[in-house]
Amino acid sequence: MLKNFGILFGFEWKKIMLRKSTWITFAALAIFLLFLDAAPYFGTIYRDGEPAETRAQSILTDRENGKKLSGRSIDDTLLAEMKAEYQKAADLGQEDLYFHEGFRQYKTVYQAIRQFSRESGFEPLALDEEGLYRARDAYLHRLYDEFGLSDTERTFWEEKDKKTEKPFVYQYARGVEYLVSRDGAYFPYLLASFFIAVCVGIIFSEEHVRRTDQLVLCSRFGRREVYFARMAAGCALSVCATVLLAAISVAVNFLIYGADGFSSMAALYIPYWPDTVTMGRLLWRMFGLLLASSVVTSVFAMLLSEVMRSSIGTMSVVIALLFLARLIPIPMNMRFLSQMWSYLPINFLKEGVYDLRMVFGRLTTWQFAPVLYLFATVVFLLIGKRAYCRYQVSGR
Amino acid sequence: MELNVDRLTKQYRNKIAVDRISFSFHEGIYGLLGANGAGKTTFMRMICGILTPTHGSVAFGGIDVSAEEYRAGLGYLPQDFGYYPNFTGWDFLLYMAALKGLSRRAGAKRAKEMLELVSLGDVAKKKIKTYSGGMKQRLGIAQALLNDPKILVLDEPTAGLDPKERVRFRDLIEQLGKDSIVILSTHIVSDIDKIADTILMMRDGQMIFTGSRGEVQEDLESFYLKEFEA
Repeated sequence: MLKNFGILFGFEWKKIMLRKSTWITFAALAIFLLFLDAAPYFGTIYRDGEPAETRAQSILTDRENGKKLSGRSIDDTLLAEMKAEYQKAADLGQEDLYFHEGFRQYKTVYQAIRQFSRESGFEPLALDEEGLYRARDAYLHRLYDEFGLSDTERTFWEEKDKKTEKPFVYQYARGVEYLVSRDGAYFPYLLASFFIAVCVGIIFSEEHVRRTDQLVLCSRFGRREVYFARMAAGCALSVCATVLLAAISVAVNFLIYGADGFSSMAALYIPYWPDTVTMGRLLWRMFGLLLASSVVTSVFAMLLSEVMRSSIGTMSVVIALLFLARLIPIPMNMRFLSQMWSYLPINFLKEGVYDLRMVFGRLTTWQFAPVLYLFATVVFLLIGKRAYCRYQVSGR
Repeated sequence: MELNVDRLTKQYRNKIAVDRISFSFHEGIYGLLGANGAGKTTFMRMICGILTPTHGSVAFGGIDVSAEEYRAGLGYLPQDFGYYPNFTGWDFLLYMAALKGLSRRAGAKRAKEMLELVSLGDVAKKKIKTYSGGMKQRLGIAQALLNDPKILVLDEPTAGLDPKERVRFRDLIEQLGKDSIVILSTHIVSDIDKIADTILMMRDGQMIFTGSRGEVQEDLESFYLKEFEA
């Protein structure tokens, strides 16, 4: 039982919120993310050196066209319509298909199916319905080979894929698509990590630098209670920052592309993940993993902060680890190492989340990552508590 | 209840900071004297449980220094006490009260009393970063007294206080010494001379003199200097 926990948490929270650096850092990162997400909306599209339309108009047109096709199966009928429009554009000698008014109606569908058909060496417009889904199968099998999946894993994913309803039913989902894609949670997490490195990594070290540690440590609840209160305040701050950054990303994407397609099949937009899950559910999962990643990162940063007793040191290590994790590639054939590496939050949210390799032959990334992050959080908490409680005030 | 210090030793690589000190403290005021580097602060930190001894033990009424119950009855004012610059004096005392185990209501009541006691009531809602050195020191004294401690350890408590404040502080300590163990370290011999029941002198980590003020036959300052020249 942690006594006075609520009061101590309140004061730890207050300490953080009274720091100007907390607000300045968050504001800077939020503005950066806002521009990053809103950038595709601004600018002009040129055709033959002349401005053809603004990006905003282009996005709006695609959105309207996409919505008109929502609910239609991607079958021979739709493919035939698309091909006919393509032929018209080709007859006119139009190089950029997307500027042909007829073909442009099918642009969002074309973009969706192009992902997997081109990856398996086929031009989507040359395929009929059967050929399209065969191309998708070929693409998935190529992925299974790349990941070096075992027979059990292959069977698992093949069974999963069999359960996906085909032909796919198209629904316009551009806004959600970006958010569940390999960049959707990555950028909010990356920026949240910077925030954690700067504002959360200071929580424990500051007490040593300010020499308030001796007053705290010799007080009745200055060990266990205050340690957990500080950790909780740091985690709460990280979660709040992450939620707000994610909210910015969601709001901007929904404003630009619309909040449609929650009930559409993710298998169409995320072809490298053969699952029956809907886009809406995938979005919630991604959000949950983003929060879990943020918590584990903040606990790790606070552990470093206590051990290193330096905010600059903590910040440097956290940021260096983020970069190293992204810069050092581990080949797939080193399965254990590369799989472990892919579970580092920064790698996980970028691509590890759609890693088809399973853990213990039965757990998918979605199932294993929360368990792993919870375990890592508990381990970091316990190491941090040991370091905090054993700290000796000496040599001043 | 007594505070027992038994063969207390702190050794760093090449230096013995505190060397096998044994002593029993009872209610009263103990004035700790010693030159810089004599080991006073190390000794007091071990009594406060923020520095683990290499050997020996510290216990109050049989409760070890590492126990929460021990810390519950402890008040400490370090020499270089830190504060939270963006907190107000009021916030700081409420936070310290919560750390010391007081409930929200009891903490608020006690914080108010302490702020009045150290004459900071009128600036309680101002940020600590706006306080003068003397005001910060008084705030430090207030936080040390919040939990009505049975053991009060004060390292250079009068540093930064003006003469009037020092007199007030001495009177306060005198009152506290009736029911608590007060260990007071200072370079200002006159502070100890006026209020200490027992004089403790440290040199090179060892306790070179322990005795009541009456046992010191001469002027304390002269006695102190003589002991250190010996």
